[in-house]
Parts: sequence; structure tokens; C-alpha cells
Amino acid sequence: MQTLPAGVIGPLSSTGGCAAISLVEVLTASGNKYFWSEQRGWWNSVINGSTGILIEPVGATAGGSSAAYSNASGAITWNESRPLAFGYETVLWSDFAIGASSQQLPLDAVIQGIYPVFVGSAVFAAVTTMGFRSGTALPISGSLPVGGLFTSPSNPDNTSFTNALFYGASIGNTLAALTGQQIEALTECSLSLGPPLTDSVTVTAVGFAIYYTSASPIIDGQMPAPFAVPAGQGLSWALPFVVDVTGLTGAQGTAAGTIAVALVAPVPPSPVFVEYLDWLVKTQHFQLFGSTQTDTATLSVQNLSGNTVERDVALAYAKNEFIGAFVYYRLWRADAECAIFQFAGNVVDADIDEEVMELTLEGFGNYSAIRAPAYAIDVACPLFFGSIACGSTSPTPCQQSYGTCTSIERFAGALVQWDFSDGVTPLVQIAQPPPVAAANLARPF
Amino acid sequence: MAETDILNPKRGYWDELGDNPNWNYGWIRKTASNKKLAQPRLGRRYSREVMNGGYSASLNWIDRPFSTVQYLKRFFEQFQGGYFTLIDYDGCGRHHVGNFTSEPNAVETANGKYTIQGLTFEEAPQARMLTYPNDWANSSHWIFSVDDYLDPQVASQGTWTPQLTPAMAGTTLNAPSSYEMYNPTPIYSDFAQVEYVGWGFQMTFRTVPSFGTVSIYVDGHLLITQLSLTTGVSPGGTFADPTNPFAVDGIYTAPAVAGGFVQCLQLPLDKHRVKVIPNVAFGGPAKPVLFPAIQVMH
Repeated sequence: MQTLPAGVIGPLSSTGGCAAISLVEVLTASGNKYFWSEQRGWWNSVINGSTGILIEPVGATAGGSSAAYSNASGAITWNESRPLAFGYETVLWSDFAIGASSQQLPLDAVIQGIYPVFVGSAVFAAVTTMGFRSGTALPISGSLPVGGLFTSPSNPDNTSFTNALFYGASIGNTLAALTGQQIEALTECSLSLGPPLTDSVTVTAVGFAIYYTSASPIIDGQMPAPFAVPAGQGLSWALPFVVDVTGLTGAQGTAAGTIAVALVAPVPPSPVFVEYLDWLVKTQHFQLFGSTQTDTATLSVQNLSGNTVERDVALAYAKNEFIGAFVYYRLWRADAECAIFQFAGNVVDADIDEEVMELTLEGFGNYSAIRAPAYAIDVACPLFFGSIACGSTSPTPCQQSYGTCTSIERFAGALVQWDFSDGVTPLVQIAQPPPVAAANLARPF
Repeated sequence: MAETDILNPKRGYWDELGDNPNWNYGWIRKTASNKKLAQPRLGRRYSREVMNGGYSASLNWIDRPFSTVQYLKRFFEQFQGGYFTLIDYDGCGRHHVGNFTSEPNAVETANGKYTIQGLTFEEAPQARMLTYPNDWANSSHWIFSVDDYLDPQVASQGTWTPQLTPAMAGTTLNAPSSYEMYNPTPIYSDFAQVEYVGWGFQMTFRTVPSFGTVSIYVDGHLLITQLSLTTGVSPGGTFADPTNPFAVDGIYTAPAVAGGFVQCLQLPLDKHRVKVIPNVAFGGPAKPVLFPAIQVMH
């Protein structure tokens, strides 16, 4: 169950025994949003309450998806070819924050710890040093050790590992602790006369794991948890928004760094709670056709509320063009915290009188309203050779092409043909090529 | 004519009529159903006054002389589209202006005795009155800045917000009567107004030395100008002259102003709009102003 702000009378657990209610969200063309129900209260919004972006409707724990971009990975590869001098190479991740791709903290979250984490692979060729650190103001000049060690399950410095997760000690219990935090991977070497060696570090994920307690904990699974999330706790991730690579300096060899690999992971969007006003009256009516005819609905909104001079709905009607407005409807079961019926569509008619505004809705995908012939539009003629519509009396079957047509006044294909051989529509229309003698597969006799 | 024609000028027997012009007991004093109601299945109730009807009555004259029948018939015909005055002596002598909206059908029940039952009298809106209702203690109600659900009742433009008034706290801090609409820095285009269906109104502006001045409009007519919320009086004066083009519906309006108390008694039954405009609209200083609760006659 979600925890609501203090002072808000929560609907989620207080509707015991009542029927499901309607949750109507309206987004008008002018960007105004309206949230209506038969009961006043706070519920999560499908139309994101702050940005207007449509996100997946979720309950408190259901999953959605988000594809926000974070620079959460990086790699450095260093091929030392008999380096003759000191050199180093670093990748530095910084500006950690709970971005849009991460599960947001619930309102009642109490942070238990914030742990630096990275996942990656490394090949340590024993040139000089390979190290991993976290902390503030880490050097990019090739000097270790500075900052905190990754201690668990072991110190990854100067070791080879494959797709392993390491984490360090908690940096604090508030998000403010993330300020200035950095995570760094570094290799450095000095004079080496041995055979060419390769040190490589490939990091696939970097972040700070935020463990918290809450009445509604959610575990963000976009990265593996560094350690098992205790019962009653949730996990969110602060990801880096800046990655810097300092290339090979001062040594002989080659180095390559990669950054800015987007980490896209399924995460449940954070519910945005808005107040739904108790303005819906009468019965909300839906007609579901189960065919190419789109579903329709009517909503009734009372037009009496307001101050002594202005009616709320009439004012909204005057300030907005409701026709065309996007409407998302949910029949909401408060006890299950889910919608047992959903409808998305547009307002196609808005009638208002002294008491009620009636909104007529149509769903999306109204294929039956598409005006198009019931045959394929193509360079190939859709007519059956020799049929009445074709009218050809030729003994030679056509190939459904203009060039082979013997009844060209009735040719029903498109009269131009493009060469799609290069996959690009050419600017120049080319003539129909001469017919190729072939069997007419369309002709059954 | 009209309000000066009184159906029952006397309380008892009237020589000129040869009868008591008042109706018999067993009559019904009805309240108009002016309101529309909305009730979402699980929501609060919403109501709105959408008509301007007044009181009505179903009256009976039992076993009366024929002169009374003719008298009532005359009033019925004369005021089909107009109005006359009816005095409710048992109802604290309140005047009602209106007309008969059903026909006086007299039944001769005995020799020289006639009975008229169910004659409907309906109060007419926008009708002048000889005596406007003024029983503020018993025949008025309040429109506060917020309703019982603490939703705003005052329509406004500008930075008006409902605030708890320090001068008139209710029984609890959450009582609607504890609120006033407050505008700390009015600009020239600001206003606040309420509408109601009824007769006169009165309101008391809290006076504070640092406050500005306001003008009060009723139904679009300037009624009081430059009411100082510092002194509670109106050096700009009121507009009470019936020949003044600002007079409301040509009706003699005589607002009283003293100590921040504003009373406008002589308003006929109608939907009235009381609008307060900060005098900054006329070049005055942008000092705080307020819109208090308003007491309206019903």
C-alpha cells in the first residue's frame, strides 16, 4: 500500500465494501488536466501529474518500463607495449542521482545505507596497479590509493575477475551524501621491458545502492543488489550522469575508453498521486464492440459545483476545447489497488447543460472509420484476369502488371512503378519494363 | 398599483369588504425550490441556486360573502402579469409581493357562502416592495467565504485567498465563519464577488488601520464608493437617490454604512451579485482589502 502525505485522507484502504469507482483523467489540448471520480480522494495518475507524459498505469507494486538514459557503464582497455615511462588511464563516474530510470523513493522512505557498487570484468596483467575507488575528489592523475576501497566480497584491486559485483561501505543515510561522490577505475604502470601486456577493465554497471525502509518498499532490479535486501526494505539506485575517461598518458601502448553506454532497465514508474474530485454523476457508460468498430463511452460530470458565481465545469468547458481531449478511464478496485477495466480514448463530443456535462468518448484504433477500398493498392492490378471487372478477352493471361495488361482501360493497379532494388524510393519514375513471360499464378485454370 | 395594492390591508374585519380579507387557517406557506442538487455516488453534495422564486402559498377562504369572491377575482385578473402586496400577519407581518397563479374557483356551499380553496399565491421576483424584509435575526442566512467543506464561495480575480480572520473566529478555527477573502496587494483589475437569491444583504468589513478602500457594486450598479477599511465609513458616499442611474433596477436603494458595517435593505427578490472592487482600480493605494462573510435575507 502506498503511503500518502500527512493530512491526506487516503482512499486506498478506506473504501471497504464499496463498489469499484471510476478514475477519469482528462488531458486537454491546451494542456490542462482534470481528475474526476465519484469519490474525492488521492489516487495515482496515469497522466503523469507533473509532466504530462503517459506512463504505464501501475499499482503500488506492478511493473512498468522506462527507458531513461544514464551513463551507467564504462570500459578501459590498455595494451602496454613495453611502456618506457609512467602512464595511467582512468574512468571516472560522477554526478550520481536517482534519475528517471530508477525507482523513486517512496514518500516515507528512511534510508538505511548508500553503498557504492560496480559490476564488471578485469584482466590484471601485473604491470603495476589496477584499482577501484569511491569517494569525493578522486584523482585522475594516476595515483592510488585515494578514496574508499571496494571491500566486498573482496578488494578487487590488482585482481582478475569476470562479471563480478563489488561494493564498498555505506557513505551515509541521506541523499545529500551523494553530493560529490565519484567512482573510479584506474590502471597505471611505469617502465616495463617485458613482453606486450594487456590490462583491461570493463565495467558494465556503476551506481550507488540505496537501501531504505518504507511501508511500500520496492526493489529496483536494474542492477543486482550488492547484498540481499532485508525484509521490509526497498532498494533504489543512484546512477552517474557524467562519465569521464582519461586516456593513456605518458606510456607506450594503446588505450581505449568507452563511456556513455545507456543503461535501460525495466523499472516500475513511481506513482504520482493527484486528487480526484467527486464530480462524476450518473452512470459511466461503455460500449465495447469486439470488432473493428471502436469502443465508445459516455461520462457524466456534474456542473453545479463552484463558488456562488462560477461553475467549475462550465469554467473548464469555457477555457478548454474538450473535443479531442485525451481521456484515460479506470474502473478502480481500491481493495486490490488495480484497475479491473481500462479505457483510453478521445473526447468526440462534449455537451453541457445546467446540471451535467456529458463527454462522449471513442477509443483509439477506430479501423472501421478508415475510408479505403477493400483491395490492395499496388502496382499489381488486383483484378482477376478475364473477370467481368477486368474485361479482357485475350487468350494470354496477364501478370497483373500494366505492361502485360490487355484491358488497360480497366487496369486497376497503380500506373507507376518504382524500382525498390536499393530500398529507397527514387525521385524518378521509370517506365514499366517489358513483360516477362511467366505463368499467371493468379489464374486457377 | 403593484406594491401599493395590498390584498389584506387590515388584520381583522374590513368594513369596506364586509369580510376579513385574510385567508383561513389550514393554508400552506411554501418555500421555493430554487436549487439544483448533484450527488456523486460516493461524493459530497453540490447545490446551486438556479431560479429566483420566492415564497408561495396555497390559500383558502372558507364560507365567505360573495364580495370576497369578487375581490379575489379582481386581484387575480388585475395582476395576472404583475404583482400586489400580501401581508402575512401571522408571519411577523412580512410583506410579500406577487400574484395569484391559479384561478379563484368559488364553491357556493350555502346560501350566500362561498369557499375558495387552494388559491395559489406566488411571490414575484424583481418586484418593488412597500416594506422590504428586515428581520435579520430570523429571516437571513450567511454566505461565508468558504462553504462547509471549506471550498471557496467567493468568485474573485487577483490574489484573493481565504484566510482565518482574526476578528470573527468561529467556534472552531475550521468553522467556515472564521474565514474571509483577503487580498494583501490588490491591483487595478482585482475584484471579489458573490451571488445569491434573496432580498437585501448586509456585511461587516473588518477595519484595520493599514487597510485600503473598496467600492461595492450590486448587480453591476455602484452602491457604495470609497468605503474605507481603515475608518469603516464611506467618504465617497452612497447612491441612494432613486433617480440616480446607478439605482438598482430603479428601486430606491438606501445602503447604510457605519463602522465597516454595510447594509442594503431595499433589494427586491432576485439573484443579486455583490461585488467588491479595491479602490486601487481608481488610483488608490494598493493596500490590503478583504471580502467578509455576507448575510442575505431570505
